[in-house]
Amino acid sequence: MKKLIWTLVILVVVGVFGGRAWWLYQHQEIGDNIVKIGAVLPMSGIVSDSNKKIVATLNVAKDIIEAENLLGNQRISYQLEDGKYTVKDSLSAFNKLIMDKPNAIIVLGDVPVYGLKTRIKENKIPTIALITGTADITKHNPYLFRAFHANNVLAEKNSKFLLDKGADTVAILRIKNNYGDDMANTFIEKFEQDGGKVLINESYAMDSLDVRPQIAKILNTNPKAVFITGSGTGYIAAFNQLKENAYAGIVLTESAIMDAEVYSHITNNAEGCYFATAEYNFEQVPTFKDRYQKAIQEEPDIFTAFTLMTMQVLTEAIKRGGTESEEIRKALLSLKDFDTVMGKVTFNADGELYLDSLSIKQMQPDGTAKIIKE
Amino acid sequence: MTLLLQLFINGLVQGMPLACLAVGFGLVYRSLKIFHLAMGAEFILTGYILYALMNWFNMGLMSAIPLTIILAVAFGAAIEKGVYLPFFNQKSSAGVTMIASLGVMIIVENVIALIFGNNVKSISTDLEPIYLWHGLKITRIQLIQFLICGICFGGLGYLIHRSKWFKVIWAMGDQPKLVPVMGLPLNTIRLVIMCLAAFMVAVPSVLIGYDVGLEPHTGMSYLLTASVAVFFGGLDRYWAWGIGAICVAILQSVVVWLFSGEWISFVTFAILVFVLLFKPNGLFGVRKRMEEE
Repeated sequence: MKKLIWTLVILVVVGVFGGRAWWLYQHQEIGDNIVKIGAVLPMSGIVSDSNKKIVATLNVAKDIIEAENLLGNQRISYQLEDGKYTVKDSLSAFNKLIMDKPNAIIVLGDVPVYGLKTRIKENKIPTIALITGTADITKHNPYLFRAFHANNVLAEKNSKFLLDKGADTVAILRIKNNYGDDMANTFIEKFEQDGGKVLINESYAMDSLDVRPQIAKILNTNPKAVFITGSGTGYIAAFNQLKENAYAGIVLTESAIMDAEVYSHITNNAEGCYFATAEYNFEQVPTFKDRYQKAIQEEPDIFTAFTLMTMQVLTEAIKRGGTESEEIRKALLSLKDFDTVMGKVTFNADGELYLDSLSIKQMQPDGTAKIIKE
Repeated sequence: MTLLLQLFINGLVQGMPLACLAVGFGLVYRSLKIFHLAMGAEFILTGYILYALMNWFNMGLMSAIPLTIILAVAFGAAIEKGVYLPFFNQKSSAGVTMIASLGVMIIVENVIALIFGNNVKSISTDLEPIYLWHGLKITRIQLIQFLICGICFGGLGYLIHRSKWFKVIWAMGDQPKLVPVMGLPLNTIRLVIMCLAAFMVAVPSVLIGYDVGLEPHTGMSYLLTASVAVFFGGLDRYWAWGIGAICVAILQSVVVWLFSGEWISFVTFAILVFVLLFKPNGLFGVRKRMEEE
């Protein structure tokens, strides 16, 4: 009986692994007409919910590129790896990706990009840092390109806006990671240069549910404005618990507030807050919005727009330079005022993105955002 | 000074739910000798049960809460029957049972993330009324947390000192081998302890979930803080768990007065290391004779 059970177990194991190997063999995409794009995404872990919209955008973008024959007879093949939004897992994911020699790579988020920047430089594969704000992260790294607004660019806009509104004292409540630190530091530098004063710079953990102690400390300094930056549950708690205290000053934040999931937990508590953000227009890719909504039954947002822009610039670079990594890199650098869903896009010599559309918006009671200042 | 007082009050209010969690951990650790890591799973599961009852079955808050607590207690009983008791019957070591307990927590955490997603879930996004007193603020839900958890903690403490059955539970922590010798139903007492512990975890879980929302990966953080509170106060005195919890919560809150918020979790572990090094029996711990150990 024991022998029979063991034989069955071995047969099942061999069957499962053998079947999978055969499936992989049958489905492997071989040939010169395949453009391999690798991506390190937070497929699990605390920020994994944003992954759904990124993957949906990549897939819809691929369908459109192939349907419209934008790359001729070439087809796109994605290899998606889970970086869990941690340096350690992103490194493993990246190492796995480069075994497959992708033509280009997309890495999502400040923490993974920060951890991978040396590996990106060493491996000489053009990499797009998607939704990565850390200032100067692409500097001295010829293979790294940004697809998001840099923190220092936002800082400039935010600083000017607050001072114009008469808010010369600010308290900062930031997420405790590379992104939050950089966002706060670039803002402090710019704001104090412009004549403002940052009274306090407090932090919260990404998974915090209670930030009342930090809010009590911030409000004790009587700031004219509070700047809340970051993501995760702490970001949501910050809004809700600041509102509990009936804070009457200006609340400044960032485009994370427009994430439908985030907003659903904050709702009216975000009413009236301001944020600097880039403009986008999905009409630029006529069929995208319908296909995207059909795929995940959600409205596309700014993160969708930046992901779509990433695929647009990569497609254009491949069209111009071919599939060799070095050629893609050169072609990305050659893009000047290239029309995308984010408006006209240019990368400077450091791979830094220049967007011509950045405005200040204010959250309205119905959850939409209205442009206050171009 | 107002800030310091405000932080002190915040800590005091958070201390009461933590005291209940400390009881949930301490009862199992003291009486069953199990480092009850699955308590983290009980904590998160309870909040999500409430969320599911309200959002999937459209139950009102007041009808969903009792059902949630009943289901949470049933889950505690299931852990005992399905995991701890089989290991106990096999005379497995404490380490093995602890790993099994960790397994329960990881499984529950991941199943919750699979079903509900990794993002935060809010039971209520309404603004809570706030009470002001000499510039000090407290929200209604904070006050409710303090009162209900205070009643649960105080009520169980009273029963443990007054009721014969509850005295047995406490005595089991001192001399576990004597329970069957005295003809008492050991398995039933074990089950009662697990149910009581689950109840003491379910109450703060519901209230905290309602106040600040739910997230599938927070169980471990609450579990660690609760265990630190037990060891800080002293394992052998029930009231010391509450004092330990309040002290830890106040220290966690007041640390923001001097340092940045990122040091909150540092305080928890600094206390743990301090206690283990200098007061291994806790602040109010009982020094036992060698033959009692």
